[in-house]
Amino acid sequence: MIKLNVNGKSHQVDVEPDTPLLRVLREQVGLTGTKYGCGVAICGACTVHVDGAAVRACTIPVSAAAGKRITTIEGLASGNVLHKVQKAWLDHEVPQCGYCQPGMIMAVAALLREKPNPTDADIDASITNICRCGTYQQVRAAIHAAAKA
Amino acid sequence: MTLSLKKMDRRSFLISTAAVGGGLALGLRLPLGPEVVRAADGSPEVNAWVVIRPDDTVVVRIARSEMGQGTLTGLAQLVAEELECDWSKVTTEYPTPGQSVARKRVWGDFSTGGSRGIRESHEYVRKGGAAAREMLIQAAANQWKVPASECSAANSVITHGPSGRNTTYGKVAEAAARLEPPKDVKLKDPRDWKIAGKPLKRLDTLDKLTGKQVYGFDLKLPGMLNAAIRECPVFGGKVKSFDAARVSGMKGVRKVVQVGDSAVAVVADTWWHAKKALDALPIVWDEGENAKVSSATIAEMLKAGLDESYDRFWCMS
Repeated sequence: MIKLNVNGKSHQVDVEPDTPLLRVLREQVGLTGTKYGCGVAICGACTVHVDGAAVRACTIPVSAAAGKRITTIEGLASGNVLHKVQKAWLDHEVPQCGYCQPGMIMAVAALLREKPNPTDADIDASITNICRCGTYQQVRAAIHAAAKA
Repeated sequence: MTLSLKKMDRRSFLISTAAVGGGLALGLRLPLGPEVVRAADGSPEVNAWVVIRPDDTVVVRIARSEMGQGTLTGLAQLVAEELECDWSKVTTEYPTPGQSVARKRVWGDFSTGGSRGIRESHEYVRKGGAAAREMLIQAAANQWKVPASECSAANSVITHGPSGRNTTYGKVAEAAARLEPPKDVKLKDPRDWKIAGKPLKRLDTLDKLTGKQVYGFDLKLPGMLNAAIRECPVFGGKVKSFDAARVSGMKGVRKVVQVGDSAVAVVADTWWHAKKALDALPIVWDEGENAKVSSATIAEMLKAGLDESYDRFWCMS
């Protein structure tokens, strides 16, 4: 049994310790907002926060997240109040198909905590998430808007 | 145009009486009126395209798949335009392919692709909205005992011109659902459109920002197993053999199966168990005639093509 703290709630999961955190979040915890894309930590669709830092959950073993504070896209808003990144995403209508956006949003939320006013170069360096719809320009505009919010 | 109460045919009589079988036995009065098709929450369907809840929420049925192209919002706009409903109260739902078959494909084509959703269904979805609007107006007119021609609808509110009385879609939806649908409806001139064709905010954005949007990959059915599959790494190659016994004892593994000539899959309790077993499964491939194809041989083939006579290009063009 591994003890996880996800979005402020405690979960006991019966999985092998090398199971990727992503699989456990989706299958045992039942939170499917975090997506599987490449499975090798390149695309960023699986990004969640572990103790506040953006982590690609498809490759870190669940054992590495045990006892730490895990936040998924489902836990980013405070009740019905959207996080400022989600709000900017809504205003700019960033998503098309939306599959990569939970990971994108989690990556950006972590970036803004570290760098409240990122430059375009900061964004290029930190937000390496892949969006096959090609929403990159909307993503950039929404990051700048969220930074000002 | 007039709408009349649906006549009770033998079939709906049987359905109604079956539903109140106990009442019949006690000799109670039969409730007249045909059955109303209901959405899962019990709200009445005015027609296949439009469900209206008592709180005036309009649920528009969408028969195409939203994949980021905006069809869900665009189709809802077309229905809402003719329905004359309050756009801020519009939400959407997908009928299932099973419901489509059971209801004799009442929503028409269910396939999504080639930019055909709006192009090929705009007329009949608008007619769906227009028919629902006429039935709602008729229901209000019946209630007020006035001609429908004296009533109009805008923003989900029906008004009787001469008396100034008004009501909302949510209040008359139940009665409207019992009316015979109009045989034909007149569509608005696109020059008068207020909702359709306008750059409105998409209806699917919020769910995509909060993790609520359900993708095919997110579905979990009772007792569902997961498979991981591996195809011969060389195009045109085949499976020669695989050693299922080596992985069949691994945790969660249910079965190792060959898929066609060229792939092997492990079926397990979870995808992770299936993937781990597949990675550990010894598979011998017959790579076939493409086994020797490499970047070098492809470059060679292309180079040889450059040296061919120009005549072929002239023939092709």
